[in-house]
Amino acid sequence: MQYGVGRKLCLLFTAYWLLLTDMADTFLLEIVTPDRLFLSEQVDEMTAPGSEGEFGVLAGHAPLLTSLNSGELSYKKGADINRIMIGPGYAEVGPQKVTILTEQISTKD
Amino acid sequence: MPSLRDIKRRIKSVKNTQQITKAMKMVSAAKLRRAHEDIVAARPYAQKMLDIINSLSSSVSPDAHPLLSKRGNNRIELVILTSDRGLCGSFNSSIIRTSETFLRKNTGNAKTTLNLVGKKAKDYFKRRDFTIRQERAFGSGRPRYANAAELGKEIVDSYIMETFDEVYILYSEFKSALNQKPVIQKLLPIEPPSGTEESTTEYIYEPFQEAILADILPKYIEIQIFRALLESSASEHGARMAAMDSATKNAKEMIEGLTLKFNRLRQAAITKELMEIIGGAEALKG
Repeated sequence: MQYGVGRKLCLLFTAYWLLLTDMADTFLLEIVTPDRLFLSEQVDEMTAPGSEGEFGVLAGHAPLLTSLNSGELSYKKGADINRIMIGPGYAEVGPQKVTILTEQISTKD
Repeated sequence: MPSLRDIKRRIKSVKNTQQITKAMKMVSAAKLRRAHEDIVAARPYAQKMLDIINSLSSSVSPDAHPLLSKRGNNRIELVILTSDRGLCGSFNSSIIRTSETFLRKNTGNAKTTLNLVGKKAKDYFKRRDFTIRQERAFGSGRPRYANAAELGKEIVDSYIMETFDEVYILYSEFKSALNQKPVIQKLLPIEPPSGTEESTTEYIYEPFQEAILADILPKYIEIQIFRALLESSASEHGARMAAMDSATKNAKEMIEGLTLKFNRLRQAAITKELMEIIGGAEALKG
């Protein structure tokens, strides 16, 4: 009897945990320039050149507001890794959404 | 009394003008659409910038940065955005009229300096007794962020060096293709947002708040100027489109009137000739 309840609870927790992790798996990355919204995609992880050093972001990151140096920004979506060069700017990081503000962008080929 | 050939010539010249105004109208319509797209595209950046500044300035005292603090003096700088080209109806004249009203109201207690954008503003103010601190000619054409950044940087630098104490920008707000309204907006000092509600998220700031604020405020001025440039550009194209539309209509009316006159005259000439022939025949008979 007791064993049954424990197992049920355990299953419930596992399901809940899976749901949570699944929800927090990706986050929305938005890159905006004064001219346009350059990118708006769900990504798995991102690395940006912060003014205090390069930093990586996964879903569920603590809220962070930082300035960015010019450099390479990369983001991973599934198996693809994309790299773009950005100019100086700002990043606003939240648990579900990251917004990059920059004046210049060039895609690297 | 103009001869038949004169009227024919008139009709031809009006037709040529009509073709030009028609073409200009279509070009303006295309440019207006693009300018409108540009305005929409610039919105997310400006909005995000504003969000960040709001969340920063709610937790930083207003004296933290010179761009936020008010000064006692009231030397005013007025930035006026006009176009480089004419043939756009009352676009430039309404801007200049508004600036005149503003200047009359404010020159009583302070020395106002002007910062002009666009040839039309320069043409008007250089012959009058005003202090033109700077003038630039990128009023027409697609606004580029680099231009706004350059202008913004200069204004911020001069402001910090206390060349003036307040900065206003006058531009034409784009309401619709047929409706543009000159507006005056305060650029500096930046007024903290009216609603002082605390932002719900507590950010980690990197580097510290004051540094980000000092870095981001000049950018905010730039984006404000850029937005004004975009609005002004869209308004210009809208105004030109409307002006060219009515010019084309006028030309059409004029051509109709002239054609009527031409036909009447031709008929009169034919009648006259007939009368002469009949008169001649009658004379021969007699």
